[in-house]
Amino acid sequence: MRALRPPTESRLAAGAGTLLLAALAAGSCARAAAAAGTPAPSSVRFANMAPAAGLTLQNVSGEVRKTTIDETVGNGVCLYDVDDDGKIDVFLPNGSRTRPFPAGQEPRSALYRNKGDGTFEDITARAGVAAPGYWAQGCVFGDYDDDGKVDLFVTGFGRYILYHGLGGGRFKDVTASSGLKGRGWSTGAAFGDYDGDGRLDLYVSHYLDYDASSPPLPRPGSLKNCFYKGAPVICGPGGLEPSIGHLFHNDGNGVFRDVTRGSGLVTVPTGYGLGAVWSDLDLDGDLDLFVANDTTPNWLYRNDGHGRFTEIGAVSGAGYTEEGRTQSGMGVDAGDYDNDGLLDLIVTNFSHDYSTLRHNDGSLTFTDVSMASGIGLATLPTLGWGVGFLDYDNDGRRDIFIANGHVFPNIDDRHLGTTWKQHNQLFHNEGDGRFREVTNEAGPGFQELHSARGAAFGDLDDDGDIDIVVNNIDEPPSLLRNDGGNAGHWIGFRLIGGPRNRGAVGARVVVRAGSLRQVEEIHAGSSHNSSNDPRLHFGLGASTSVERVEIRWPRGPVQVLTGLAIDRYHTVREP
Amino acid sequence: MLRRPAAGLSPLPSVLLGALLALCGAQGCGASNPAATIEEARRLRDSGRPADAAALLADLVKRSPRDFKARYELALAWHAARNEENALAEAASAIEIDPASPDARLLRADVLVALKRDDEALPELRQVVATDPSRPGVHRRIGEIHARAGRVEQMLNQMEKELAVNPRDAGTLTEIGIHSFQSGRLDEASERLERAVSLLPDLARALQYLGEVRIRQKRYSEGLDLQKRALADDPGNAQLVVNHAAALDSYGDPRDAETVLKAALDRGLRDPRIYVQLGKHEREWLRFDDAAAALKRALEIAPGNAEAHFYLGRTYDTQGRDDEALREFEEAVRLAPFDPYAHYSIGMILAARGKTNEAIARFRRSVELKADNPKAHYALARSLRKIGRKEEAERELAVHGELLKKQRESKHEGVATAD
Repeated sequence: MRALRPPTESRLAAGAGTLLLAALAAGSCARAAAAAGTPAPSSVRFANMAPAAGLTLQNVSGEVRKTTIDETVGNGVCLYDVDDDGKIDVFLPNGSRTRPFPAGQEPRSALYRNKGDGTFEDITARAGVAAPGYWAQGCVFGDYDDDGKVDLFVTGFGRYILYHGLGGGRFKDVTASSGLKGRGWSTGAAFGDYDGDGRLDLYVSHYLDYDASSPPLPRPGSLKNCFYKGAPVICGPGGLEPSIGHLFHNDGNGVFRDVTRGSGLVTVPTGYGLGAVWSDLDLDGDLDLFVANDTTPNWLYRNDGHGRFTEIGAVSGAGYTEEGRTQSGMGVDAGDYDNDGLLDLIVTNFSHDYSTLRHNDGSLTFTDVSMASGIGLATLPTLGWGVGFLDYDNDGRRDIFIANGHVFPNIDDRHLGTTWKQHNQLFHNEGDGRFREVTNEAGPGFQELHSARGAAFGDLDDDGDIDIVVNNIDEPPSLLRNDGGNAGHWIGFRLIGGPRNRGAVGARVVVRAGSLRQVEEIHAGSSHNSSNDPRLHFGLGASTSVERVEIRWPRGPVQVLTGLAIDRYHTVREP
Repeated sequence: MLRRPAAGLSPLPSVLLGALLALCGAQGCGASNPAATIEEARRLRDSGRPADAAALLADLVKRSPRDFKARYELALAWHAARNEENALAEAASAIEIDPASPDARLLRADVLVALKRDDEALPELRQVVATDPSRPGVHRRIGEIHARAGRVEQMLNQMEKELAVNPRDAGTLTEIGIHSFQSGRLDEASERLERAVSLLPDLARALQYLGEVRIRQKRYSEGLDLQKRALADDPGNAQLVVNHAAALDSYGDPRDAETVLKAALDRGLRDPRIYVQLGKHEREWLRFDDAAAALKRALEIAPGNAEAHFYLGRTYDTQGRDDEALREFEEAVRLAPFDPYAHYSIGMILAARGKTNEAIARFRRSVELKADNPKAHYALARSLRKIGRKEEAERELAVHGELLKKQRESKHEGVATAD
């Protein structure tokens, strides 16, 4: 952050030591990264500023020595300016464990207010979002009641929590009156107005049919599916009972209604749902829904524009790899990496498999370009979770970040070329359909080893480049501050819709600057259990002006803006 | 005149033997003591000098052409010396002298088997059974002939009969156990092979297959240990080396797999299968250049090894070297036209190049050859859809979905990887 000093010499030295240890510890992960050791395309570096910034929440995800799958999925990160002071704040949902905690020592989630000087203030207690003892998973911000005060939805075990925003960074739990009844294990959630009535609806992925009221989960090696390469490991998800995702229609007056049945969504429990993102993938003006499923085919729901969905994962090419395989889908993002105007998809997966980059060919057909793009080979040793398309160096092309960490704490003993703690990965978009891994050159923040899970992206210091917050399992989070990304020009937008959908979720912005034509959508919910800074950020590279900005408001008019200043955020209200 | 022994006659003992024979010829020792000659011949045979034994016995036979025992022992010696034609002639002569002798018929059968004349061996063995139904080893021999001819039921029948007369025959127990394993009857296989191993703890073939059984039973560490023991007793068994390394890669410490493979190469076991397995191992570790080097080495030894061409193709394909990959897959198909995976792999490259119709032809061929490969159905569906044949594509996708479901049900891991 601007106000914080750059890393000192001693910190850099420590970083180098960490790199060596990391290389030794991470086996082939480190080797794979080293293979990508060609010169960095820019001088952008990331440093983990979380401790100094006061983002210190210790993540709890079951026992440290993990034996059941509920301990392994971990938590997300959600970014939003909750108190409307112009600075992006950070919410970190937290897990728990089955074994009771001493009274008063239960883990809690945390809301950190961005003080604007590079540090954060823990305002959880006064915000009313601690939920001590609640085993949370994911979160998403959205103004579901259009009162101009952002609300917060939290997923986890046994129930959902809907916090109604009261303004000033304070919230009230209104779950009981909201109609959002959920049991079992909920994970990725995403707000989106799927039926064009102007109100934010909600999709919630569900993973296993499991919560505290269920029989205990099987122990390692106790069922036929509880093995990995011959060794007994944590069971699942294969072999355990899947659950179904839920679609909630926002009926207004603060009430949601479960419309899963009859909507066209899959209602037979056949998928282990994790990441979810709403996006107009076929440019027909309504939001389609993509759900990443673990070990089962991903779902791509085509929206017919009237609130009816058809699952087209298999025919679209989004459900399987190019070989027709299912993968362990974890996190997901939709973004236009090749600036062709269509949003592409990336899904993170298990180790010994690759994160899957799918090019949007139009008409809701996708081609798996993971191998051709370079993402495939580089992600084989890692197990990915949080993911995002971000233009970290403002060159006008969306790069890719992946948060990594294994699910089996004993994996290190097996010498399989993958490890429990891993490096996160950064891929630079080379502009020819290929990505180059720049993890090794991306600064000390990328040399740290964690078992990372959720990741969210946003400009936390308002300096014009994208920072990254990562939730690490059983550890405090990482705040990867982007230093040098703003060397290239940029422009950003905060959109205020109205009178409904105040956050303009689903709005689509096209920026033309020189030869660049970029498109972004506002998403509320993506990555792994996470949601991003709602502002849209466009790198402009060497362009010193923006010719034209086109905003397609959700189900609304197209607004054209010209002559906008660059290197700043613009707040734009729906006309 | 003595016939020249086929094998095993070392120079110095030959000289001594010649002197002994000359002396015997002068003094008539052989004629006066044929039992001692036979005894000496047996000793020579058992000590690994069967040709010397044959030389000694040939002299005796010359002097006593109607001596059944001399003829029989001579046939045994030639058989042990792997001079099967001579063995066959002597066995026939012995049978002529004593047509009822089961020993001579059994020996003739063994010689015929060694000469790969199973059809002639079988009647001989049947005659032995008719004469002496409880004679150990005969049913097993018949069973082995049936096994070679692919007559599985008859093989099993004979092996079971063998066990009835010879319940402690570890070899028969092993063969029955192997058959049970190959038929997927793991419990039966386990029981027979365990008994074989308890009777002959160093019987490598029994250890090898009991190891395979244990791995299928998900008793991985036991399986790996048994394979290791088998390998200690049979270090020249390249297939065992390959199987053990593959199991270590999947269920043990992959570093040990590499050690096993490299140790076999260091022992001089230059078998292409070992290089192919090494190539697969290097691929698993994402060391694609090393994988390619190992697979190329396999091809230097055996240019016609289709599996090596296929995996080399896959390695190039992963590296994005699709021209080279295509060449290797084409070669794999030329060598193994019925390999569904090579056809599929060619189809994938053609599809990526936009040669959709050619790709479809390859995918169709792959599906013809292996109808239960979901990947080929999926690829076919994608290509059919690309050229607008949506109904056919839907049908292929439905098959793909069903096959994936079945695959998931049989899966032993709760996660999805590209393995």
